[in-house]
Amino acid sequence: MSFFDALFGRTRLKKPQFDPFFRLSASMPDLEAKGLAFAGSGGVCYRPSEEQAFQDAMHQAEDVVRLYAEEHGLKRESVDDREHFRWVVLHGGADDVLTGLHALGDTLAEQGYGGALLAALFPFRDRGATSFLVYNYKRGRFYPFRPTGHQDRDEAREIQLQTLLTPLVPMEPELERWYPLWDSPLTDA
Amino acid sequence: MRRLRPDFGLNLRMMFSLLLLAALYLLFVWALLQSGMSFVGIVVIAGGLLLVQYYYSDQLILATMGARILKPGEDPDLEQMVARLAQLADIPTPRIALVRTDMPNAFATGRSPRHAVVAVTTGILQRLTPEELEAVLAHEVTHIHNHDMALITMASFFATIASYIVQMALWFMPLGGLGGGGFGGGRRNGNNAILVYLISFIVWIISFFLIRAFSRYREYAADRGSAILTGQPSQLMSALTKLQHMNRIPRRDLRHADTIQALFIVPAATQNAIYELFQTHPTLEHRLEHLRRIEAQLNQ
Repeated sequence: MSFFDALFGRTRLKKPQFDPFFRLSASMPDLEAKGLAFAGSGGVCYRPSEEQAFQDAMHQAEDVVRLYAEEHGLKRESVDDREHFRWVVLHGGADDVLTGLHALGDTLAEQGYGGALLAALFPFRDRGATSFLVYNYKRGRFYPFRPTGHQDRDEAREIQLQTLLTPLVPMEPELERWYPLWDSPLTDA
Repeated sequence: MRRLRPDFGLNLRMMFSLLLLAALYLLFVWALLQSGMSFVGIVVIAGGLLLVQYYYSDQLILATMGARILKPGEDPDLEQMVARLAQLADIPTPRIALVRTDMPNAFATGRSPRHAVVAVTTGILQRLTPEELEAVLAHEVTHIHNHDMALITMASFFATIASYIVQMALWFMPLGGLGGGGFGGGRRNGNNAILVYLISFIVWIISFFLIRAFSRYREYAADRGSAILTGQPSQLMSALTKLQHMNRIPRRDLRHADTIQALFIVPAATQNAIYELFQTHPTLEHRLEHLRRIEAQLNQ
C-alpha cells in the first residue's frame, strides 16, 4: 500500500500472482514422494460482486472453466457458500485441475477482477486424513491447513508440512496469515 | 548427572529487582504513614483481600480455566511422569488437573508445594511428544519447587494496595472525595491526599515493571530447573518453539477475516525490548538463547 493510498484511505486490491500455481503442478511428484498424494480435486474461492460488469466477467470466467472441464472430462461444481463466497471446484488429475482453475482466475484478472480471488484450495491425502494446501493469490504463497473438525486444526502437522514443502513451492513464512477455511465444499472431498 | 553451576547473573538480577521493589515499597509505606489519613485501614483491608486471594487463588484459577482434577488412575502415564519429576525435585507429588481445550498450554498453581496443582490442556497432551511434555512438566514442577506463586503474590502485595488507592481515588475525585477526605481522613487538607495519590501512582507503575522483570527471571529459573531435572534442554526448546508457533496460527476463517485485513494485516507485535518489558514471560528467542547456554554447559 503506497503512502498516498494510506493517506486517502484508498482500497486497492493487490494483483493476483499465478506463477507459483504452476510450481505446484511441477512439484506434484516430489509431494507424492513425501507422502502427500493429490486427492483429485481443487477449488477456487472468490468474492462475487453485484456489479453488472463483474457478473459478466464471472459468467465469462465460469464458461471458460465449463468448456475446459467438458473438453478434458473433468467433473465441475459451482457452490455459493453461507459466507456469500463462490467456489468453483474441479475433480480430475492434478495438471488438469490446476490448469482449469488457473483459467478461471486468469479470465477474472483479465477483466480487472483479480482482486476478488480469495484463495485456491487443494486437498491431499496425508497420514490417513486430509491436509490442504491453501494458495493466497495476493501473496503468491501456499500454506498448509489440516482441519480436524469444524473449528479444529492440527497445527503440529501443519508446521511439519511447512518444513517439508518449503524447498518445493513458495510457502507463507508468517504463521499469522495461515487463515483457515472451515467447512469448505472441499472438506468432504 | 553433571552439576550445573548456579547462574550468578540471573541471581544477581533477581536480587536487584527485589531490592528495588523493597525500596519502592518502603517509600510507599513512609508516604502512607506521613499522610496521617486512615490509609492504614486500606492496608488492612487490602491485606485481608490479598490473604483471601493467597488462599483461594489456586481454586479460583482452576475454576475459571475449567480444569478438572484427575482422579488417581485416570491417566497413569501422566501421573507417573509427574510423580517421577516431583521425586527428582524433592517435592510432594502435585495433583494433576486437565483442561479441555485445544489451546496447547500448561501451568502450575497452589500457594505451597503441598497444595500444588499442575494443569495441562488436552491440546498440549495431543501435540507434544512424551519427551517434550516431560520437559514442560519439569518446568512447572520447578515453579512449585521454587514457591513462585507465593513469591509473586507477596511481591505484588504493596503494588496491589497502590493500585487500589489509585483506582479508589479515580472514583472519589470527581465527588471532591480526595480534598474532603473521602477515605475517612476527615478534616485533613487535600495536599497530603494528592501526594499519596501521586506516590501510589508511581509505585504502581514502577512495581508493575519490576514484578514483571522478577517474573521473567523466575521463568528463566524454571527453564533452568527443567534442564537440570530432565538433563535435556533440547526437549524444552523444541516444546517451547512448537507451542509458540502453534499459538500464532489463526483460527478465524479467511472469509470472516475482512478480506482487506486478511491481506494487509500487520504481523503480530514485533518482539522488541520494549515489548518484553510488559510481559511476564521472556520472549521465545531469549529463552532459547538461555537454554542453549545451559546445553553448552551440560556438554562441557
